[in-house]
Amino acid sequence: MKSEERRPDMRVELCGVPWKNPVTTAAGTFAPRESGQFYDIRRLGAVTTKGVSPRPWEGNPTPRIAETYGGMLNAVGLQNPGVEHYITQELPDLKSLGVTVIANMAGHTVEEYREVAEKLGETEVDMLELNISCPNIRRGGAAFGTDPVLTAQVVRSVRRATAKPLIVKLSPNVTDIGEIARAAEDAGADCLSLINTLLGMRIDPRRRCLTLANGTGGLSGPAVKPVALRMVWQVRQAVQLPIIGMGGIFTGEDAAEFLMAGADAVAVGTAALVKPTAPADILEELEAFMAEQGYRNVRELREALKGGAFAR
Amino acid sequence: MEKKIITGTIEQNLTISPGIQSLKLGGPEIAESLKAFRPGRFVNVYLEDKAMLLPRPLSICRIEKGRLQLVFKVAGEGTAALARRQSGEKLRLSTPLGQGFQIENAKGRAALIGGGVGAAPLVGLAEALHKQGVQTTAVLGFQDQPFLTDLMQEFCHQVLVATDSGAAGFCGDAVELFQKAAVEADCFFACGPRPMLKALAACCADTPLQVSLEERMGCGYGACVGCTVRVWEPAEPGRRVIGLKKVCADGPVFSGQEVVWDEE
Repeated sequence: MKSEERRPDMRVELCGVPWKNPVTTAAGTFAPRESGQFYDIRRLGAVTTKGVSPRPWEGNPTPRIAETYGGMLNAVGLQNPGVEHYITQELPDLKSLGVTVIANMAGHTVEEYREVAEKLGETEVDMLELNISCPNIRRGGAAFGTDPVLTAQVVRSVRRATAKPLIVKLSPNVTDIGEIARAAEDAGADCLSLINTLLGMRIDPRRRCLTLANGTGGLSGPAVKPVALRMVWQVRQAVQLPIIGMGGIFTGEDAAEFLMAGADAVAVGTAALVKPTAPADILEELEAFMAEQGYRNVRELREALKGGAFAR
Repeated sequence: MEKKIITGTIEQNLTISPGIQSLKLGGPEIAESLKAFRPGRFVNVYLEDKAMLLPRPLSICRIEKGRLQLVFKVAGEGTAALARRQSGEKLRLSTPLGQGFQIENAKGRAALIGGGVGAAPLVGLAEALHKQGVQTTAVLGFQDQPFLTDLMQEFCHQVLVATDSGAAGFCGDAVELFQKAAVEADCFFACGPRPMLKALAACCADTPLQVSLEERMGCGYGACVGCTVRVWEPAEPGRRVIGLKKVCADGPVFSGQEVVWDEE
């Protein structure tokens, strides 16, 4: 396909919130100040901030990080200074930059998730992301996101606690992700994001010990991309909600794959740990890819894949 | 932008002791990045290998005439691959990261205590202290073969060496030698294995001590919260609470009195 290269219209809208482009950060891989030392974070469609809980969490013991073939394991365990600190110390600076902010929310119980949602509901945060898929905490997290009944219960409760657009972040550690997606949709989610990390582990055979202090951790990076893409595809068939797709996106063409699979926007996570400027670089590459391929806007790209078409 | 990913040219890649590598990098981007150097800061080095994605955070040993010298231990596949890189090859790395040693107020006498490859950042530190007119004693401990001691001699008033094997200098570790030699100073700086730093913190509680910590890192710039250290933070008067800091972004240098040592 050859066409005149003009700048595509990158704007998208999710749940009524306008984004200047479809690229955001994945929760837990972005820090406003530190990431902002490497690139202008205002270039992104939105920024998704690290999970916050009602009170400060200490996270897991170190080592929390292990490298794996084509990816990494993390068992950070949602260390965070708590929602009050986020609201008073982090959010005002972000909002003063004029970026669209998605706040990721963590909790051990339905009540804790509600509490965070209520507090963030009164702030300038643009969207909320409910993290019911963290594999690294003992209570809460993926314990909710791997059970359709518990998913519905927590989503329904948080839905009532806030009027903000509610994104529910899904776990890949399930047999049927479509079932969980439908449970979240029926319970009042406005948007779904997926995938969170895949539960994995490593052993150091020479030192005869577990590589992560937590034992298990969440696998992310290019190694998980085919799984993530397949799940976005499945969820696209299962629900009507907008989807933020993520999992091993390292290039503009990776992002295009997710958009073609049915995502409305994409998030960059591990790539930003490997290369701090990755979210901005991937956005640029996606825009260049769309221009080269003659797409005028994101909708055209999303509709480009004819039902089940194979590459020939 | 304040920080960047840059490309340097390998000018020298030498094994200076078994398992210890010295890598000298040059080029215009390296020269430009050196203004952000402070002793104790580190750089992320990228391997360009899709199987090994994470950056390797490596100590800056010193800077010299527009060149950056990194000294690291070959600890696994990634550092082994780096040790095989040839002169003339390009290497992608970050500009200096982390907070270095605070030396603005250092005067009089200083003692630098290093364990193994922990000697690396102490070289640049000794050089900076030397320029400031501080009289420096270095106490360096090694398993068997000492390294970087010649360079330290250039900047230190005195260099004391200990080896676990007894192959050179005092037979024992750096802290034992430090105590035996009764090194006196107005401020202490240390880099080495955590048990060494802990022992040091216990035996010099009355003197300002700065320690450079090591921790397994993910991003190396403060985004992933993978490398955490527990620190004492002041609460209301007379009380202190345990807080968490990032080794990569808040450190790697911390006050020895600030680190919570008694947890393992």
